Order: sequence, then C-alpha cells, then structure tokens
Amino acid sequence: MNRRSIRRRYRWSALPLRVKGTLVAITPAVPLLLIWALVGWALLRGPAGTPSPAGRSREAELGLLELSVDVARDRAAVFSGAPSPAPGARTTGGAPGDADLTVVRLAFPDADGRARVDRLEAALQRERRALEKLRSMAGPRSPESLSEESAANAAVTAAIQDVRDARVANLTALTAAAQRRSRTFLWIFFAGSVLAVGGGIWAAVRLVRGLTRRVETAVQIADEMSRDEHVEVHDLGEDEIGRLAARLHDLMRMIRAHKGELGQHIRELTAVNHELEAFSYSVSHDLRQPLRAIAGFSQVLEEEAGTALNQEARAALTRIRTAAARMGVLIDELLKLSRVTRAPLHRQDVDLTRLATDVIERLRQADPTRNVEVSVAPNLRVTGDPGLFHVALENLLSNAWKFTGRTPSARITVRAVAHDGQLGIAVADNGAGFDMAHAKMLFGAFQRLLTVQEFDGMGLGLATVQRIIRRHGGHVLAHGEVGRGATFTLVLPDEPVGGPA
Amino acid sequence: MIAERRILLVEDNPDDEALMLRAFSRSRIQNPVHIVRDGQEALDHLHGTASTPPGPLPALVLLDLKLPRIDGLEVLRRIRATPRTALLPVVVLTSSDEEGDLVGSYTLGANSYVRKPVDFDAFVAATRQLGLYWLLLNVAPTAADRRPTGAC
Repeated sequence: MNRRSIRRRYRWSALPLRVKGTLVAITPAVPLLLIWALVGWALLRGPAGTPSPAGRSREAELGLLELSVDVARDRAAVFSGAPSPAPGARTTGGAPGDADLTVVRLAFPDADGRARVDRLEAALQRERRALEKLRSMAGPRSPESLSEESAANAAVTAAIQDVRDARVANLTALTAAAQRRSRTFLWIFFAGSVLAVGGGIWAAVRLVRGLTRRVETAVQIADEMSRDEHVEVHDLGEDEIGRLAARLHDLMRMIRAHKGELGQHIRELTAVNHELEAFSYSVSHDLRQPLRAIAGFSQVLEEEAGTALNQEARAALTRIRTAAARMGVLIDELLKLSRVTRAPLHRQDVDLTRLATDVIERLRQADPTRNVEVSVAPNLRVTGDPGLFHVALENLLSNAWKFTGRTPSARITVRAVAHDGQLGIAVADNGAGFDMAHAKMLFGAFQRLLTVQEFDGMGLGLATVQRIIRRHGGHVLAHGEVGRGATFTLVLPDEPVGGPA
Repeated sequence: MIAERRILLVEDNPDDEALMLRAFSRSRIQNPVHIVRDGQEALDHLHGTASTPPGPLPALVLLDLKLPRIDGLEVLRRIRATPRTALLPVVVLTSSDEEGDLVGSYTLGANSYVRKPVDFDAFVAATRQLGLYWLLLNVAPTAADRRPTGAC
C-alpha cells in the first residue's frame, strides 16, 4: 500500500460513517436526476404555441387542399356562367389563396421546397389569368383560350401534386429524424441509468469492503489484546471505527501499565517471599546447629566429668540440655507454621471424618495404654487443602489427647455445628481446659513464646490451626473451662450448612 | 574388614564434626573417617586434582548440604555426573528439613536423607543406625563393579 493511497483512504476514513452512508445512498440518484433533467429539457425545448414541423406539414396539406378546392370552384363559376364573385373576392386583399400559400410555404424550410411552392404560385397565377380571360370573353370562347386555361389548370394540379410529394418526403424525413432522436435519448437514459446504478453498487461495495476490513482490523486488535500479544498500532482513520481502534490501543496501554505495576508488586512480594524462605532456611540450618552443639557438648561434659561435678552442677547441665531440646522443638514448630503460611493451597474435596479417624488411630498406636472414648461424626466433608486440614486436625486432636491425659473417663468428639449460619467443625474434649481470660493468647505464635504456664506443652499447634483455617477463609473459636475441657470450632463460611452432617 | 571401609565426612562445622566423631566412637564404629571441610575439597578428594590423582574411593559419603564454596547439592550432582563415583553411596546428613533440600537430594540421587537431631542421644542413635546399615548391612557395588562404566 503506497503512501498516496493511505492518504486518500485516510481522507475518506476521516468522514463519519453517517456521512459515508449518505454519500453512498445518493450516488445513483445524482446521475439519474441529471439524465432526467436533460431528457426533459430536450423534450420540452422550443417556444410554446409554435406548431411542430409535423403540424406545419399537416396544415400545408390542408392549405394545398383548399388551394385545389379554390381553383376548382373558380373554374366551375367561369364554366357554368353563373355570376360569381371575381376570383379571389372571398379574401380580403392580396391574391386569392395567398394565406394558404403562406401556410404551405412555412412547411418548407429548405430551398428546394420553396422553389416548388414558387412554381405552384406561378401556376396558380397563370390559371387565374386564364380564367379571367375566359370570363371577360363575351359570346363563344375561343378554343385557344380554352386550351390555354386547360393547360394552366393541368400545371396547377401538377404543381400541387409536386408540392404534396415534397411535403410527404419531408414528413417522412422528419419522422425518421424524430425517431432517431428519441432512440438516442433512450440510449442516453438507459446507459445513464446503468452507470448510475453501477456507480451506486460500486460505491456501496467499496464502503462495505472498507468498513469490513477496518472492523476486522479492530476485531483483530481486540483478539490480540485478549491473547495478550503485542498489538501493532493501526491507523484506521478518524471515523467511529478509527476512534474505536484508538480507544482499544489506549486501553491496551492502560492494561500494560497496570500489568507493569502489578508485575512490580508481584516481584516485590516474590522477593519478600524469597527472603522469608531464606530466613526459614537459615533458621532451619543455622539455629539448629548451635543448639545441637549446646545439647551435645553439655552431654559430653556430663559424660566426661559427671563424677567430678556436684549435684547442683549436674542439675544445671540437665537443665541446659532440656532447654536446648525444647528450643529445638520450638524451632521445628516455627518452621512448620511458616510452611503452613507459605505453601500453595490445593483445594479439593476433603473427608474430615476419615482424616480425624486416621489421626486418632495413630494416637492410639503411639499410646496404647490410654483409654479414650472418641466419637467422630460421619460424612464430615469440606472443600480445602487435604494436607493442611490434616495438619489442623492433627494439632487439635493431639492437644485433646494430651490434655485429657489425667481425666478418668476421657472423651473426644468431632462433629459439625452451625455457627451464625456457617458450618463449624467442633473438636471437643473433657480434659484440663483453660481459662477463658487467656483465650486470645492461645493462637498467638509469639505470645506463646512468653510461656504461660497453663498452655505449656501446647506448642504452636493452635497458631498453626488458626493460620490454616484463615487461609481457607474461616476462623477458629476457642471455648474452655479449667478442669472441664476445651472446644475448638473451625468456622468455615465457604461451606454449605446443614449438609450431610 | 569393617576397619578398612573408609567414611568420607563432608562437614564444615567443627562442633558437628567433633560430635559426629564422638557419636561414631560411642557407636563403636571404628572405620577410618576422612574429613573435608567444603564442597570443593570433597570433590578434589573424590575426583582428584590436576596435581594429585584421586585416591581409593570411600565406602560411604556423609554429606552436609550447607557448605562453603560448593554447596552439598552441587557436590552430589557432580558425584553422580562422574562415572567413577556415580554409584557411590551418599547419605545426606543435614540440619535442614526444607522440602526443597529433601526433594532436591533425592532427585539428584542421594541414597538416604537424614536430619541431624538436636538431642545428642538421638544423634548418637541415628549415627549408630547409619553406620550399621551403610557399613555392615548394605551391599554397594565394589570398585571392580564400577570400573567397566569407564573412568574419566
């Protein structure tokens, strides 16, 4: 596509669609109107009231007829001897039949025709003179005069016939010319109409093609945008389609800009996440190692010099080892907690009944001497990450198991409850329980590190449970009473209430 | 016979090294232990350098993951990439229980992955079991089995 055609299309494209449509609609109308005007003008041409050539020809015929009638009447008057008005008396002034001759002459614009009429006039005058002579003769008419008149009359008849032939020939020529003219007009009309209609179709096709191409380009831009491909800048003119394409480009730029911002945020978050991972990695490695040294070497010390140490020193060594071991457990739990927070969520159907039963089974195997009455409701199903729900139940049930250790008839139940129209999974025990005044501290990972005696041994399990349920859009409720047990309810707002449970 | 089977301990931390040696002796594992302190040294020992040809291969490599210069996973990758050491038993012995380390080690062909316990008694127990299993019970391809795959 060269530059000029771009420019031309650009100009055409700059017109609004409404104008383009109107132009295309009137394209055939304009030449048609022109042709009609031309034909009308040609047909109506000529001054009003003037007889047409054909009319003149008809009048000339009548004039000729009247001339022959006049001559016949004049002759009859002369030969019957009746007193008749003098020849030409019926007319006012001028030679008799002058008016008729004028009419006849009008039908002949050509020189040849006029010459014939002149000859007719001469013949008429000759006949008139012959008749005058006969009339003025008294008594018997001379045979010369009679034959003279007869010859003159024959000449008149011949001249009339001559003019009449010329008139007929003229009329034929006129008719042929008129026919030719009307055929020409017909052709002009036909060709003009074809041109006009063809032009209209051409213009319409051109407009539709141009529109289609540009609309397709606009659709292509939208397609590319939706596929997030690189979108080239198309110049689609300045009409509605062009503006649409331009807006699409603007939109694309906006989306790109927002994507850039989002990408920046994601990169920042990813960086933070990487730092967190690096942190937990270094906790995993670097904090455990010295702990292992503390625990290990205090044991070495005890083994090597235990007998040389007094009771108090040995107790101190034991405390060091115990503290190191506890810190090791805490580090493990912190790492578990951070993993629960970082791991991607894989949502699927989770059979909590089966998970809880498995966890209880494992607890029984680990501690076969315990006699705990466990009741897990059937068909406890939720949608969530099976691994994380397993960790949550493991933490809750381990706690319940642990804190019913001194209860004579220990009982643990897992069942569905309704909480404010939301599904709750309640894990309840009749164990040591806790003081509701400290309920808030149960879930705090770092409050827990302050070591409230009451929660000792609970670890970071509840904080982990809380994180897991929060990641599923829910929260955990804790209810307890010292010496009477604790109930932890996992409230899951995304789950249908009163389902199979 | 046990005494002839050498252990290569790749460990950069002297505390862990001392504890490990003590655990070996507490577990009555008397195999000679060769200690290298970083990944490069471990590879030099196994594959030799331009100036020193490689010595005889150890019976077992105990590999820490967090090492100076070349980290443990890379050492493992190069051990497996070299025909001479491709079938050598390598036990990853580390403080980390990160999934990335665990999966990475097994993907690269670690024979075992053991987390160092903080508690010393547990540490000794783990060391004893490792020694028993890898130095007594487990049958590894001998040097003669290994050779036909070609040396590099």
